Order: sequence, then structure tokens, then C-alpha cells
Amino acid sequence: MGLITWARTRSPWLIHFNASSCNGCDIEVLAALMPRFDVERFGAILRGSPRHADVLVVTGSISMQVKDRLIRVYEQMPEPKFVVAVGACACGAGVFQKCYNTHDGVDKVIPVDAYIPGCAARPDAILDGVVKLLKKLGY
Amino acid sequence: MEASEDHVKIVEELREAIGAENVIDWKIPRARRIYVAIKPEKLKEAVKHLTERNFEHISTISGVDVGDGVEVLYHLTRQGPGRGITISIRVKIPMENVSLPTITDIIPGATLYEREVHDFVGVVFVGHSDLSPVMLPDKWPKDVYPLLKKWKIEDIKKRLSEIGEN
Repeated sequence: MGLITWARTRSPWLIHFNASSCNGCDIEVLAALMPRFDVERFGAILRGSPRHADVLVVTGSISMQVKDRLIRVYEQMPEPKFVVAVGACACGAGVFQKCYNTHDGVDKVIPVDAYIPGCAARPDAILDGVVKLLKKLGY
Repeated sequence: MEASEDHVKIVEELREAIGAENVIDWKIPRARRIYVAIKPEKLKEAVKHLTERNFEHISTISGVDVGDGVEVLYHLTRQGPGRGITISIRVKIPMENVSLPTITDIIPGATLYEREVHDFVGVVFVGHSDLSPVMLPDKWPKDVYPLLKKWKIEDIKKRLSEIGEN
């Protein structure tokens, strides 16, 4: 493992983006960050700005209005950047599938690296997804 | 609790205020719930009459596609004495001319509800200061009202693909 990979995989900073989510997954993302599940022991920390973040955590279905905002946040992140889709809505629109106003999943708009299914996704599943993403990067 | 006489009295007073011939139908299905169907020309008078009798809170305005027209329901709830009674004013307007006078000059809080009804079923509220989209996206095509029955999801998707969405 090179120095860069080592540094990258041990400090995956997160930015959490709520794309018209019902707040269910958002609460679970927060639960995953809290001491009980504690993503922070893998070096992950929630950042307030996409410019500081490596991993974009998206929850909720992608409506037409939020699509442009999501792309804008994604483009503000420095390379290399990774996207994690949390919950059924972000993975494939969930109950909002084929609605007149939604895209069927985050991957229709921006490339996604890890999918975490569930409605709402459990904190342990989110933890598992983050670890799988880190393994993909060469942890 | 049964629908008491004061419920009937509320309807009777409304009938007196706007004229009995303008009240098409009314019913009291249960306690604290009144439906009154009136003619659209008398809508403002009816709302004004009710606000003066403590029906000051507008819960919401809903618009329904009933086939040959759009039915708009104004759900007003009573504050103060006898509070909790909800009266729904039902107004049916024809598809050819879906317009109603605004009630924002009587109840300013109705602004958002009128914009929402305009968004989804296309009712034009004459006199409303700004009927720009409130729920629908900024780029939404102007003539598409998604909750009207004539707009199928496939047609909406087709229209959206024409402007580069979906």
C-alpha cells in the first residue's frame, strides 16, 4: 500500500446530501456517525462543505428540482471522489419509481460507487457499505 | 358527539348571507364537519361571511379533477368559541374556464395553497399576486398540470424529455 492510498482510505471525509429524502435514512446516517456504531473509527467525519469531502452520501429519490443541485454539489468535490447511495430511494427510486417527477436512482444522474439498500437503511448496513467502499479503494 | 343544531345554524346563516339559491348542496356527515357546495360567483362572499364568524383558519385548499371540471375545496376551521369545527366550501368550475377569484385579500395565508392548487390542477386564481411554481420544479413546462386526469405519466415523461429532463 502506497502512502497516498493509506492516507486516503484512513480519512474518508463525508458530505451528506439529502435529495428529497423523507428523513428516515438521514437519521440512520446520523446514527451510524454516533458512538454506538461509530464510523469515525475508520477515520470518517462529516464535513459541512463538499470541497472538504471525499465521499458523497446521498439519501432520498432524485427529483427534477434537486437533480441540478446534486450535480452542482458533486462537481464541487475534489478528485478523487466517491458516491454512496443510501436507502431504497437513492438506489432505485423506491416507492417513487416511475413517478412523473423523479429519476430512478442516483446512478441515473451521477456515478455511484456503493449502494446501501433498505428502507430506511440500517446504521450497520451503512457501516458495512462504507467499509466495502474502503476495501474497494485498497484498505 | 352528534351533529348538533349549531352546525345546522352555521349552514343556515351561510345560506342567508349568500342567498339560498346559491347553495347547491350541503351535508353534515358527523360532528364538527360540514360540507357546503356553492356557486363559484359567491365564493368570496361565503369566505368573508365565514371569517367574520370565527372560521379564520384555512387548513388547506384542495383541487380535484372530477372529469368535466375541477372541484376546489376550501377547508376553513373555526377558532375561538366552538373551535374545531371544519367547514369545507366546495366549488365546481368547468374545464373550459378553470378560474376563481383569489381569497388572499381576505385570508393572506391562502397564498401558498392557491399556488399549490395552480401547480397541480391548473386553477387560475384571478387577483393572486404571484402564481409561480411552489411545489413543481423551476423548469416545469407551463401547460402541464400533473394531477389532471388527462395528463398520463407517459405523456408527462415525454414532455420532460423534450426539455432535456428524464
